[in-house]
Order: sequence, then structure tokens, then C-alpha cells
Amino acid sequence: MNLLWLAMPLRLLLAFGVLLVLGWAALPDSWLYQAVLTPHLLLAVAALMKLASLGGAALLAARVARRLEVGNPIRRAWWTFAAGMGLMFAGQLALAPEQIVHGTSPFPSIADVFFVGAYPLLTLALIFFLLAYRSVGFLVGSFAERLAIVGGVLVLSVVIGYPILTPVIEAELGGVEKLLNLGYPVLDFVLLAPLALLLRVGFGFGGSQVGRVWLTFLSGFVFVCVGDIVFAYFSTLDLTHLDPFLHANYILAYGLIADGVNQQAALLDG
Amino acid sequence: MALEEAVKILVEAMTPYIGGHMAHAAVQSHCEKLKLSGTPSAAQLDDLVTRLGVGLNIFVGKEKSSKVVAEMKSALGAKGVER
Repeated sequence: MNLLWLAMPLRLLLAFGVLLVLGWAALPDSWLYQAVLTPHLLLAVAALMKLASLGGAALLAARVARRLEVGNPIRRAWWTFAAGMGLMFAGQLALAPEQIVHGTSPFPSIADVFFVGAYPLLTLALIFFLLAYRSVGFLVGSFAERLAIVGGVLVLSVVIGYPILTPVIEAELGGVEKLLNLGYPVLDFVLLAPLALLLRVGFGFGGSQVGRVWLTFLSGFVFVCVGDIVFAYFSTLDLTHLDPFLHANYILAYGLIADGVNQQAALLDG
Repeated sequence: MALEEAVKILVEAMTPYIGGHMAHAAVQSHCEKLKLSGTPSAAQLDDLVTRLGVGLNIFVGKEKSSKVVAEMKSALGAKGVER
């Protein structure tokens, strides 16, 4: 069954959710956000939207993998990605009851076991996508260009990572909290290398059918990386009033990934 | 048929799926690998189209890539490539 008809209503819902949460970030003391759309309610809405996107992305990715024949070089990438998204969904599922019932997001929590476990799988999935591209002659750019991209990501990671991670290292935090606040950005910086290479290929597809799939899908990953890096900073400096921006960022990130995978599934379904 | 003309036909067939830039890059890359130049034989062009189909397969699946391969072969045939 082709689910592309779902794309537009879901995009509108996604945009509405992001705007709602951004409004909370911009006008937290307004009547609307104090009396009607309370932080508790918005946290619950955000949790449900993230769950829907992550669960949808995992299921659709598994569907894409199943649709591809055994031996197709990109099949294992989709399976690995589905497993990674499945773990992200499990993490969000572990966090959701607390967010929906009590309006809080405990950190660290059992959810982090799943989130941390998802990163190696997602990074591996991106590497498998690159290997699949290369195996069929679609990896654009020379070796030197690819080396320059990875080098650029390394430099960027140091330039961004140093000022963001320094307060984390210096903060008086519990061992697990500090480890996670350092670990998430580091895992993201690792993820950024294959992501940058895939983006290079993705831009090559332009506005074609495949191009739209990959640019939507990969831009979701960019937002995930931005969210994780900023989260570590906000969390360490206790900037909890900025949490709504993070929720909006993650809703958008997971929504874009799910949208990209849905487009890929539709492309296969014809 | 001259290679340039064949390249144009193949790029045109793949452009809606992977874009003109990538289609051109993929065709050129496979032409280099197969060391094609001048006026390639029908068998060489067949090999080229098959390789492009394998590439498309990872994005659009077997069914659709087979359809595009058939379209490419038919377009090459219509332009006078003997099979």
C-alpha cells in the first residue's frame, strides 16, 4: 500500500506541532501558554509526536528493506537503520510516561540506554548507505574531496565541540550525567562524518525523486545532531527555559526522517 | 551510434529519478570503467545499461529499475543500435 497520501497531512501536523512548541519557547508567560497550552500539555504533545515519528520511521524503514530483494547492496543499510530507529523509539517510549503523566523529562534515565545504543546502529546505517552508493558507482567526488569533507567535519567538531564541551567537563555533575552529556555530542560528531558525505551525494540528486527523499531524510539527521549538541550545553548550564526549542528541534528532526523514509517507501511502491 | 548520443539518451531516461547531474555523473563513470569511446557496440551499450540499472535498483527497486532499463534499451534501439 502506498502511504504517500499521508505525507501532506502529516507535514501539516508536523509544522503545526513545531509552531506550537516554538510559540511556547517565544511566549512562555502569555495567557495562552499559561492557561491553555500548559508546559505539561505541550510536553505530552511533543512526546506523542516524537513517538509517532520514530515508530513510523522504524516501521517504514523495515518495509523498505523488505521490499528490496536479497542481495541488494542497500538492503542491509535500511535494516540497520530500522533497528536504530527502533531503539530510538524504545528510548522515547521509556521517557513518554513520565512526560505525559508528570510533565517531566528525567535525565539520565533508562531511556538513555536505548538512545545511546541507537547511535552506533544509525552511524553504521549511514556508512552502509555510502558503501551501497559506492558499489554501484554513485559515490560522487574524488577521494581527495571526500577526505576534505571528513577533515572539515573533524575541524568543525573541534571548533564547535571545544566551547560546548568545556563547561560540561568543568561542571559538577554526576558521573553518568556527565558521561552522557559528553557522550551524545561525541556520538553526533562521529555520525556527522558519514552524514556529510551522504549530503554531498544527496545534493547531487537535486530536485529529482531520489533527491527529495534523501534531502528530507538527511536534513532530519542534521537536526538530530544539532539538538544533541545543544542539549548537552543547555543541560549542563541548567538552561531549562530553553527546553521548548529543543523539543521543537527534535519533533522536526524525527518528523523529517519519517517523511524521508515514507517517500522512499512510496518510491519503491511505485 | 556515437557514444555522445547514447549518453544523452541514457541521461534523459534516468533524470526524473536521480536528477540530471547524478545521471550524467553515473553514465560517465561507467563509460570510463568500461573504457567506452567512439562508437560502442550494441553489446557494450547493453552492458552499460545493465550497470546503470543495478545502480538505479538501490533507489527505486527492482521493478522500477527494470522498467527504466527496458525504456533505455528501447530508446537506444529506436535510434538505431542493432541488437
